[in-house]
Amino acid sequence: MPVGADGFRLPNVNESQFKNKLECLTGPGQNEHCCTFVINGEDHTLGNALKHFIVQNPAVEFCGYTVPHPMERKIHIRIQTWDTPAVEVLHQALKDLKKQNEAVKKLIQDEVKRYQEAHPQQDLEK
Amino acid sequence: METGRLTMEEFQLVNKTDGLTISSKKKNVKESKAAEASIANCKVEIIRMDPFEMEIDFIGFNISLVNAYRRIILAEVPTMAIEKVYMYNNTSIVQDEVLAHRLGLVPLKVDPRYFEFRNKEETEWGAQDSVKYSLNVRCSKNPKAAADETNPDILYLNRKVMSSSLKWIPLGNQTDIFQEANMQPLHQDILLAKMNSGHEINLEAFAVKGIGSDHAKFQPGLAWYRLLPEIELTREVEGEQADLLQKCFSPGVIDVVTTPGVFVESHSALKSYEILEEAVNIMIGKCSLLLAETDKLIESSAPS
Repeated sequence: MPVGADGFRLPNVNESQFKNKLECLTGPGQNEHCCTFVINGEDHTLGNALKHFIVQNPAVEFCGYTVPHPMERKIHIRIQTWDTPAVEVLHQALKDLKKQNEAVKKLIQDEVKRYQEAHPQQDLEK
Repeated sequence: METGRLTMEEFQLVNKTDGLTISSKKKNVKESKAAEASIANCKVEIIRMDPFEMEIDFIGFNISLVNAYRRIILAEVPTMAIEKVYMYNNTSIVQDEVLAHRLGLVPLKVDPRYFEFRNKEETEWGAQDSVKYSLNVRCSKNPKAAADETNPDILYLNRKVMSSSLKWIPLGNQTDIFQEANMQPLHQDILLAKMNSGHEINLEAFAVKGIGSDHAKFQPGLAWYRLLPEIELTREVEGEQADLLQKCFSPGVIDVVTTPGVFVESHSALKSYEILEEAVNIMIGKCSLLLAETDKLIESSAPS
């Protein structure tokens, strides 16, 4: 087991050591419409953005995310809907987030091209 | 996303961007249309840009997405940095570990997109995941110095070990892919160690690809953002008080809609806009991964 200088186990950067990326918690408060998803290996970066997209969905009664403990890299996303399955809401939000990101990428690329044409610069040999 | 208003009241911040308070134009719009409409409202404007620094305005975006990009730039956009140092001879006053630490912090011009991440269990240094450097410097008395010379930089040769002394040693087929000029440290004048006459440093260093959350030396640059403020005066202010009010703010208080301005500073091989693009790519990658997982979950729960 790789151990870092301070004695803590080093997380392997390019390998996921957890079994599932996405899981559903089970228990009394969970059913098809109210579900808490556990996403392993993610933090506020994805959680906050995803939560915002889920909340914009009018079919959602409640949505929140939390990082249960800062030393464990996982997030819990709780979705409560009136009558749509929670998984579908998550799926739709992820699709929207992906679409938004691809649009941003295109915007940035176009803007960079436009700026470079408008301001021809000496090519700094980096 | 509708242009959000983050209002500063006397004792609290009010954020009017949650789904419940969508403006009336969008209330009756169906889901898919809302997503498209929100994308259509967003604009990106570059204020200024050069390979090292850029300032860009994200207009109409939600702050959580911009923050996600900032977090990804700092923690997850990969770079190359020296990771392992094989110290063959070090008789200088700088200790081995201190010198190795300093070497790790030297930013390299190597483009990380051509390399793969290295397995931690790997013992061999392959051409596809590592870059080899060697540093071989010896400090000696300068035979050409005058007898009464007092400046130590002239009295001794190679007194200061700079990052320009790092020589790239190609592994495998790296000579076919890379040019020497692109494998150097980003700055040639970084002071690594100082030596006196008779000291010698002889080492080999290997650079690998890593991300900022692993070690800060892998951070490709800095990014920070701020919201452009709109200041609304709650009551009429006249005469002397108006002058006083104007003096409180920086010159030229302008009326601008809430738009986050993002600053990206690069000190790595990637240009500033490439870092931003990599960050968006990484975000897309995360979404795709999760989409595949949700699909699996939906399928597994479908028969129930």
